Amino acid sequence: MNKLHIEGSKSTPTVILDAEKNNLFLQGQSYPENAFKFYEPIFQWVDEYLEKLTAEVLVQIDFNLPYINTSSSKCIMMLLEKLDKAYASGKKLTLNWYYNEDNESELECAEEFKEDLTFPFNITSRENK
Amino acid sequence: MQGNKENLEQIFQKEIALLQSGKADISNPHYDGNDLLPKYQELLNEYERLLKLSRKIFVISDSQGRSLKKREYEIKNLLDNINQGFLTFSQDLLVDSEYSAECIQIFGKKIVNANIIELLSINEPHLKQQLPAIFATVFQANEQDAKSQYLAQLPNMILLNEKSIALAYKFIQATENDEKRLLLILTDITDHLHSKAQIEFLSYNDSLTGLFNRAYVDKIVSEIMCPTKLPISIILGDMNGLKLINDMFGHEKGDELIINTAKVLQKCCRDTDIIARWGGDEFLILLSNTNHEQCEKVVDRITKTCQETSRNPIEISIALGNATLEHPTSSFSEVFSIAESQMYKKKLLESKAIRRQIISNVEDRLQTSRFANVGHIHRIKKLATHFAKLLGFSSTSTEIRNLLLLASLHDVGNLAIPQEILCKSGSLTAKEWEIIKSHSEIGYRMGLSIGESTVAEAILAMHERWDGNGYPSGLKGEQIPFISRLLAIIDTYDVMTHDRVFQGAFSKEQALEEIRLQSGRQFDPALAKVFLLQRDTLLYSGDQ
Repeated sequence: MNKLHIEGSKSTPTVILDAEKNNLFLQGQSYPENAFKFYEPIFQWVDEYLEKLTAEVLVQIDFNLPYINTSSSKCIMMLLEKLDKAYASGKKLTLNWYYNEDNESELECAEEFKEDLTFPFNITSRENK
Repeated sequence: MQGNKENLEQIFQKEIALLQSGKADISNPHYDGNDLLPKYQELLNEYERLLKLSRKIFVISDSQGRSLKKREYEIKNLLDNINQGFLTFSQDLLVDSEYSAECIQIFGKKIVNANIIELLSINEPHLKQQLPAIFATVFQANEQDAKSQYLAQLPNMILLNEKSIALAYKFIQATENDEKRLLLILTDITDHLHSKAQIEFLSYNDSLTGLFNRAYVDKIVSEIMCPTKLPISIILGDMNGLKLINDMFGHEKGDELIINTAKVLQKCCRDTDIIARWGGDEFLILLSNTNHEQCEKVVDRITKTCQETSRNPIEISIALGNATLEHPTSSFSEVFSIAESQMYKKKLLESKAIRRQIISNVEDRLQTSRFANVGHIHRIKKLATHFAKLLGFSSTSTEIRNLLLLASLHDVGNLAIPQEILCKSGSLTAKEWEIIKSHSEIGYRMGLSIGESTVAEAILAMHERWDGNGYPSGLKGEQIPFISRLLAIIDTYDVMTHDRVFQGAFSKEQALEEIRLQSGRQFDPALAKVFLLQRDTLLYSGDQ
C-alpha cells in the first residue's frame, strides 16, 4: 500500500500515512478552504488501511494540530470514529495527541476529541514529545 | 469548560427535547409493529450522534475562538506598544486594515485604505514621482535578489510632520497563492537623531562657547596639515583676568567673559578657520592658507577688537602667540611650541600692564556705577595721602602706595552685589545684610588675584571696628591693618559729607562730630584724634 504524504501549508497540516511503518502522522494547523476535499483522500487511505490491517499489528498515530477550524474538526472526528470502530473490531492502535502547555484551549479541545472514544488516546504535552 | 457544556445544553434545548420526545415514541407500545419504526429508530440514532457532534464542535470552536482572540489581543498589544509603526499594503498601494497604533502617532491620523505614496510624500513631494515605479517593480520581481535590490532603492528615512522617520521594508508572501504584500516598519528617530547630534556636538565642541574643543583639533590636525592648505598659521591665546573675574564675581561672570572672548575670535576670523577652546582660558586658531603676515593681521585685529569691546566687568584681554607652518617638513607640534612660547612671553611682559589695566578697569567701573558717589575714590585718595603724610609717611612709601590701592579697590566687592540691594532705601533684611557684608571678601579675593596680599588683607578689614564689633572677623584694635584703620576714617567722612542713597549729606561739622563719637568704638582713637586735630589742614586747606 502506497504511503500518503501531503506537504503541509499555512492552512493545512503535513500528513504522512505510512502503511509499512504502521504510522499515521498529522501535524500543523488545519483551516483549508474546503476541509472535506482535503481530508477525503485521507479517509480513503485510512479506510483501505484499516480494512487490510491485521489484529496483531500495533498502529501508532500521532496528531499534532494546534489549530483546527470547525469543518476540519468534523473531519478529524470522522477520522477518530473510523479508528474507534477499528479498535472495537479488535485492531490494535494507540493515539498520541500533542498539545501546547501554554495554550489552555489546546488541552480543552484534545479532551473534547477524546470524549466517547474507547481506543488508547494519550494527551501529551508537546514539550515532552 | 463545565460552564460551556451547560451553556450548550441550553443552546440545544429544543433539539434535546425533540430527541427525548422521539425516544419516548419508540418506547410507546402504541407504535409497536409500525413499519416505519426501524427507519425512525435509525433516524433518531443519527440525530443523536449529530447532536453530540455539533455540541463537541461548538465547544472546540468556542475554545479556539477564545484562544485566537486572546492571541490577537496579545499580539496587537505588543505591536501597539513597541513604539514602531507597522503597516502592510499590497499592489493597490492602499494601507491594509491592521496597523499598529504608532502609525496614528506618526501620520497624525487613521490610515486604513490610505494611499501609501500620499502618506510618505507629505513633506517629501519628490517621492510622489519616485515611489510608484519602485513599488511596482518590487511587486513584479520574481527573484528574491531582485526584490531586495529594488527595496534598497526605497528611502530609508523621511521627514514627516517635523519628525524624522526611519523606514524599513519587508516583502511578504507566505505561499504563491497568498497576495503579495509589503510590510513597512516606521520608527520615529527624531529624539535619537537629536541626541546623536548633541553627543557628536559635545564630543567635538565646547559646550560653553560652541567652539571646537581639543578633541576635535586632535582629530583633524592630520587632515589639515596637507600641502594644499599650506601655509598654515596657528594662533594661541590665553585670557587675562579670568581667575580674577571668577574669584570676584563668580564663575557665571567668568563664563560670560569666556563666551565674549570666543565671540571676538569668531568675529575676527574667517568661517573656514578652526577656532577651538584649547583649555579653561586658552584658545587655539588654525588658519589654513594663511602666511605669517596675514596671521599677524588677524592677531592685531583680535587685540583691537578686544579693546573695543565693552567692559563687562573688565575689558577682554588675551595674550596671543602665533607661528606659521610654511613647509610640509615642519610638524604641527613644532609650530605649536613656537606659538605657545610667544604667547607665554607676551603674557609675562604684559603682566604688569595687564594688572594695571585690570585695576583701572575696576576703578572705572566703581566710579561709573550707579551706587558710587561721583569723585569718591579720587577724593579719598587725595585725603588719605594728605593724612598719611601728616602722620609722617613719605609719598613714595609702601604704606602710601598700598593706601592708594586700598582707596581704589576698597569698595570693589560692591560691583558683585545686586543693584537693588545696594540702592535700597529702606532697611535691609538679614539675608540682604549678609550679602552686603560679603563684599569685603569679594574685594579680598580680588586683591589676592592681582597679587596684592597686603591690600587684600586691608580690604577685608575695612569694616572691622576698633572695639571688635565689626565684620567679617571681629578684629580688634591694632589687629586691624593700619591702612584699613586710616582709610576707614577718611572713607566714612567722605561718604557722610556726600549724598547717599538712603540719607542726605552731613555738614563737615556733623561728620566730624560723628567721627569724634565713634573714636575708640568704630575708629582707632589715636588716628581719629589726629584727624580731628588736623581737620583744618586736612579739610579746609584745599578743596575738601
